[in-house]
Amino acid sequence: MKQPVPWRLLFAHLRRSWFRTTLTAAGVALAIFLLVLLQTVITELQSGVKYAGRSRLITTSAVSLFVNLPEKLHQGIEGVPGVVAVTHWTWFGGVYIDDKNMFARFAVDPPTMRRVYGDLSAKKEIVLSTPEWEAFESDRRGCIVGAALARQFGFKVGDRIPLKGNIWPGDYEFTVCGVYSRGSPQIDESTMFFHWKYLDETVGRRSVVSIFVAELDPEFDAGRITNEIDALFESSENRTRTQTEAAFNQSFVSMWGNVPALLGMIGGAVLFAAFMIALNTMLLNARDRRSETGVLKALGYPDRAIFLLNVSEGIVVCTIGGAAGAFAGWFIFNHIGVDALGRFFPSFIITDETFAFAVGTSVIVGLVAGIVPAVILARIRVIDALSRFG
Amino acid sequence: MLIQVRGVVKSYVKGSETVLVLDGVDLDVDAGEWVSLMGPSGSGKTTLLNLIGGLDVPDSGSICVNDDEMVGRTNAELAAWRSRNVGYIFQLYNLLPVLDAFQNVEMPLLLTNLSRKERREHVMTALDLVGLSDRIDHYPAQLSGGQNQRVAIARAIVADPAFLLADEPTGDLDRKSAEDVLNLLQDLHTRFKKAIVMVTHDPHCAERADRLVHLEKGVIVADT
Amino acid sequence: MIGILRYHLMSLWVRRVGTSLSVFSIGMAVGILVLVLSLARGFELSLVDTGREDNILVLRQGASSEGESGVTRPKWRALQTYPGVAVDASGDPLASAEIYAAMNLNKADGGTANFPLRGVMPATFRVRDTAKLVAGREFTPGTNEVVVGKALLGRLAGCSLGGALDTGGVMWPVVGVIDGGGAAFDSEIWCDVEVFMQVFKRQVYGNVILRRATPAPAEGPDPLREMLENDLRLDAKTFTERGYFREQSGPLGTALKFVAVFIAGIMAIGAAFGTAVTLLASLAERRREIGTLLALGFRPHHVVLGFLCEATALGLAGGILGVLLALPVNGVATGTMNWKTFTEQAFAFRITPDVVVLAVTFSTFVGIVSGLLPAIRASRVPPSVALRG
Repeated sequence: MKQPVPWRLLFAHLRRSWFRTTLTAAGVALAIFLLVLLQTVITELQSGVKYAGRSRLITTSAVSLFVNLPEKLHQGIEGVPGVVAVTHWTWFGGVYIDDKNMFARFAVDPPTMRRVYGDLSAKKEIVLSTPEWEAFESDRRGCIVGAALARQFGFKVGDRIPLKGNIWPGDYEFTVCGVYSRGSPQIDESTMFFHWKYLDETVGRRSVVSIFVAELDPEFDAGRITNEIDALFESSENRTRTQTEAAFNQSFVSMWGNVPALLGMIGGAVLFAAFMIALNTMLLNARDRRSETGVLKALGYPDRAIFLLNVSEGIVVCTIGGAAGAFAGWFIFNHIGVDALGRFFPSFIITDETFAFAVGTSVIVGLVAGIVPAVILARIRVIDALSRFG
Repeated sequence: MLIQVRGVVKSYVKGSETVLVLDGVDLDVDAGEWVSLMGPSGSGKTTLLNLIGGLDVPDSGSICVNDDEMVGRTNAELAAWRSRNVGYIFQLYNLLPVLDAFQNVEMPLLLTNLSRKERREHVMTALDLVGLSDRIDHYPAQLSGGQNQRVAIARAIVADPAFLLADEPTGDLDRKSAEDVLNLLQDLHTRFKKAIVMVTHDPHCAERADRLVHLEKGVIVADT
Repeated sequence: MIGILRYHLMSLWVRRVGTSLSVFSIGMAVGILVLVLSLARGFELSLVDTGREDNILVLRQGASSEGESGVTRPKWRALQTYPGVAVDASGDPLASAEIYAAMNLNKADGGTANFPLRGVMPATFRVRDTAKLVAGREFTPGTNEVVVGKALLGRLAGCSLGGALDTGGVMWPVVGVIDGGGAAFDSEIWCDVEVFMQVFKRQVYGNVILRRATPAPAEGPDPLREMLENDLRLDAKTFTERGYFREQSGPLGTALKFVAVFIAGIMAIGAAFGTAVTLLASLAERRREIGTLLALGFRPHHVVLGFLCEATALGLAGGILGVLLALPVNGVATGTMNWKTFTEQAFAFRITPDVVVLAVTFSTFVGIVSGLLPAIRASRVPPSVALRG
């Protein structure tokens, strides 16, 4: 037996009932499109944990992230054996023209930032050209902005960005020295970074920062260094809490509460709906195929061939739909970029894993939706199948 | 002896009652013989045809074709056997509407090891034989009833089976087309020595056969 | 007409597998719509009904939330005795200086989250009187004692009367519970403002809350708020207490509604495709029946209406199913990040009547849209098919 499955019937059916095929594939495509989005949001929410540096520690005040630490503590942290570089971030808040222009603004120390995240580090999470880094380092009123942020507000190198401080009162003005992109999904491309020293001068040398970031030599034990850093300040008035970058990022994820679970639930419902659309079509197809199945069996086609033929139809329809939906998502978000969503999820990038997951899911939906009618048809007795005819 | 039916009993469950359709039927068909099965509705003639063709299995009794026992075989074995030995002709043609005439006739050949080129030759020969070689790319909906039945006959003979089973092959045709189909069967019978078992209730049609077998209430009442 | 309607509804029953699959796919879309809208509604309700209209919240210019604001002691003294501020029976002004910050606290189920800690003066209990002390007592000024919102009980480690909260080594004994009536205060922790400033090394208060002596004019500008905002010594920005909370619900509430409509909308289009497939298949099987109806003298628009009724019934059933599927979440407590304050806000899903009406209307509309094409096709069936074999 060379080729027991009459594949040409598969394509003949798809062509003949093209309208039903198209509607079904489109229904599945829409569902898979949503699935890609939901999965991407979940991935983005968790990317901070997944892609966090293993050999990087974050030190905050033991009391709260919102309690500042003196900038001078960095000397102590640098002195701990195994610490390669220390930089710091300070949450600025502030207003850019209007309250509604929400994006994160941090005051940082450019030279050490470049050592930890930039072209002087092995990881290169913040991608910025060397001249741009140098321009940023040398201009005390300079700033760098993420690519998504630059797209959203049209920032270009040389532009002036005014900010009004609230936590750090005062009127500030910055010059854009560079537009960075990310080398790791955990870096947000819609953040603005500027010189901490400019901030500190403006508010009258309070000399405080939000967090310290310590880059470690991977040879050293991160757990031990964590304890050593906290021990340094244990009895001081600035008690610290040091944790790995992953744990620090996890605390932000957990602030979202039930949102990831809710998104997962919605994804499940979306899939279920896609499955029902596909199953409905496959059952209707099976109804139309009874007599044809009888003929094929009378001609000597085995039950297995009937089963494969009908299962494949489900898989083909759903996979075409799923691939179209996933591709649409990829094209819209990775290619065109959607700034409306970019406001909420600035670094909205559909990963290869998500894409593969979505297409794979559509194959499974097609398989499952195709199995029920395929089994019915494969099991049907020839005389019953043909009895519908006169 | 091509077909040997011995003591075949078959009943169906319809709703709550069991209907006895065949009640101990014996029938022999020789190679190259044309047999017409006649009888009123419900006499069991179509059921007998289906049993001979391996589309259904009897409750008891034996059916031998070329000295091979058919009863007790699995569905898959029966399917493989059908593809090589039986050509079916149905009252309503049962062509696949999504395929054109050529593809319909080619269907049984897809189960063989023939190459694409060989299949094409066989299909063209069969279609030529039924006089439709100029309609190969027509779909069933584009052909008349008589033409459809001729395509169906081409499909039945394309794999060169030992015998043809025809269930009311002219039942849905006008007189002229019916005559064409019967002439075609006659031709296949005389030229290629195909055995034919044909169910019909049209006496005019049945007369073409070598032998007339009458069934009534599941038993053979006359065999001439 | 009634007779033909019965014929169409029977047809849905005859094809009940396809009917139920279509109803389910619409129901899923509606269920999601109701789920996310009830989340948005619950979040909004927790903020919208918070506070009094005659309380005035004073922040520093440029601050959009309490956490970003700062008010110095001289400004507080000026505000406390500002003309137009109400006084209580003993002649003390109904005014309080506060400070607000997000605290990283251990959750009862493990992990940490930010919760709002509000340093308040004893007067706050009388000014913000929509939050009522329902158990225990007020904290003793000058100590680390706190009162907690009732939604935090059991949510935070150590959060019960007699327990204590831990902020990085500083312990805060819980002595009272406040009930804000399902509102933002339910998720807050209140402590003495002076202790707060000492512990967190703050030099200035965050915001001031004032009770006005006379109600604001029903229409037009509010002279008291204008006077405060135009007073150059104060550098102030004012909100009514209710208005401030209402504004906080803005970004997340809007985002959730957008998500609800976006996801449910796309799902509904898919479900409409599936429903159209069902109806078209049903039409294909019924061409002879439709032809017979036309041959009997029914007009094509009867057939169109009949098919639209089938579609409407499918949509309506899907809507009801969706609401029923989502119903169990009504009242379920949840929490998520309030983007304005970076704190976790506890609230409950609220399936309000308007959400139900919206969902069912939406699904009915989806049903009708999916029925349009089948209906038009049905009306074009030639009566002669009734006569063909």
